Amino acid sequence: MANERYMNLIQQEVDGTNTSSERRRLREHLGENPEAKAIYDDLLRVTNMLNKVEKVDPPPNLKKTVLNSIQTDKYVTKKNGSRILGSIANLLPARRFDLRYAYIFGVGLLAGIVVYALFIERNTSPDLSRLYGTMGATNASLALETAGQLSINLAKVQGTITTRFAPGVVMAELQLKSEQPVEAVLEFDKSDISFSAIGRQNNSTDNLEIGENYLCLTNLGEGKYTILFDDRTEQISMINCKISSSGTPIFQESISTGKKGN
Amino acid sequence: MTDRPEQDDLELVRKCLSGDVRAFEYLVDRYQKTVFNAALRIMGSYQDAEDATQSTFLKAYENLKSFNPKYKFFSWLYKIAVNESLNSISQRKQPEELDEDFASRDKTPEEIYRDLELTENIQDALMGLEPEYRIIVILKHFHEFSYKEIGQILDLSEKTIKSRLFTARQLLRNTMLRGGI
Repeated sequence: MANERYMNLIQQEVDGTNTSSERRRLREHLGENPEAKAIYDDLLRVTNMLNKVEKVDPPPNLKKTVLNSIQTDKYVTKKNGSRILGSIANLLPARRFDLRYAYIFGVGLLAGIVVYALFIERNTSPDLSRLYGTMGATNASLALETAGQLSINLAKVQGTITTRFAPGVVMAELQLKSEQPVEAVLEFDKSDISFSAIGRQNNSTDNLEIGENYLCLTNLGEGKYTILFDDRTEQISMINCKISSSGTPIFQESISTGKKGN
Repeated sequence: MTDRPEQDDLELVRKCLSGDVRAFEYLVDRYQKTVFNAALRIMGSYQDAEDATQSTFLKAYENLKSFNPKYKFFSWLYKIAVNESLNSISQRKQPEELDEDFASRDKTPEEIYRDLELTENIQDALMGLEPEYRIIVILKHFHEFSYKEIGQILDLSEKTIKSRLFTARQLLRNTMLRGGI
C-alpha cells in the first residue's frame, strides 16, 4: 500500500501543484510501485472526467429576479423626505417593498398638493413649506417652469421626457409607450440633484431601481412617471436620458434641469 | 446603462454599501453563473440551484455590511452559496435526479448526448458522496479553488481539505469504475 507521504504527492500531482523535485520523487516511486501507479492513474482519470463537465448557463431571468428581490434603498443614506416616507413605509406590512409604495403614496400626496396649488390656488402663490420633507422650501413660491422637452418617436418606444423646475425642486415627467419592455435610465450628477420621489400613473408593467446618481425603470405598455429631485446647488445641470431595448441602446439625449438661482 | 469599467469586487462592494445598487448588479453579473453551477452540482436540481442562487445573492446583499474585506468577496459569496445549498439538501426528503436539459445547444446531437451522458454519470457519482465530500470536489474541480480558499469557505484546515478530497476522489473512482464510466 502506498504510504501517506506519496498519497499526498499523488494528489498534488493530480492538482498540478507539485514542485519539480516532488514530481521527480513521485515518478521514481510510481516506477517502483505498481499499486501506487494504479491509484495515480485512476485519480488522474477521475480528475480529467470531472474537468470535462461544462458549466451550465443560469436561467436568463435569474439576475432580474435577484435584483427585484433586494431592498434597493437599503444602503442609500436617507434624507428627511426619505425618513418621512420610511415612516409611512413602516406602517405597511411588507417591509421589503415598502419604500416604493411609500414613494408612490408620498408622490400621490405631493401631486395632489401641486395640482391644488396650480389649479385651485392659482393666484395665491402657495408656500412650498407645506410639502413634506425636503421638498418644502420655506417662503418659496411654487412656480414650475418648463426647462426642456425631448420627444421620442421610435419604432419600439414613443413618448416624451419633460423637465420642470422651481426653487429647490426639479421635476422630470416621462410618458412612455412600448409594446416590448424598454429600460429607461436617467443619469444625473448627484452633487447637483438628488432623487426625492417618484409617482406612477400607469397601465404599464414596470420595475424601478434607484441609485445615487441614476434612476432606472423598465416600461411595458403605457406609463407615465413623475420624478422629483431635490435641487442641491440651484445651478443648471443636465440629466442624461437613455433608453434601451433588450440591452441595445436605442435613444440617448440630455435634457436641462433649467436655469435657476434667480 | 451606465458604462462602467471593470472594477474589482471590493470597489463594487464599497459602492454598493454607499447606495449604488448598480454595483450589486455587476456582482450578480459576475458571479451568478459560478454560484449557480456550484449549487447545481451540490444539489443536482436545476430548480433548487436557481432558488439557492437567488437566496445566496439576497443574503449577500442583506449582510453586505458584515463582509470582511480582508477576505476575497467570492470566497464569502461561495460560503453563503454552500450553506444555502446544504440547507436546501437537509430540507429535502428524497434525492433528486439530475435535470438533463443543461447541455449547450451549439453542439451536434451526438456531442450533446455524449456530454449529457458523461455529466449525468459524474453527477450521479457526486450525489453518491456525502455532502461534506461532494462540496470539496465541486469547489476544487469545477471552480478551481485552492485548498486554502476551500478551507476559508468551509471553515476547515487545509489538512482536512486535502484529506477529505483524497477520500472523495477515491470514492468517486470506486463509483465510476463500478459504473463503467
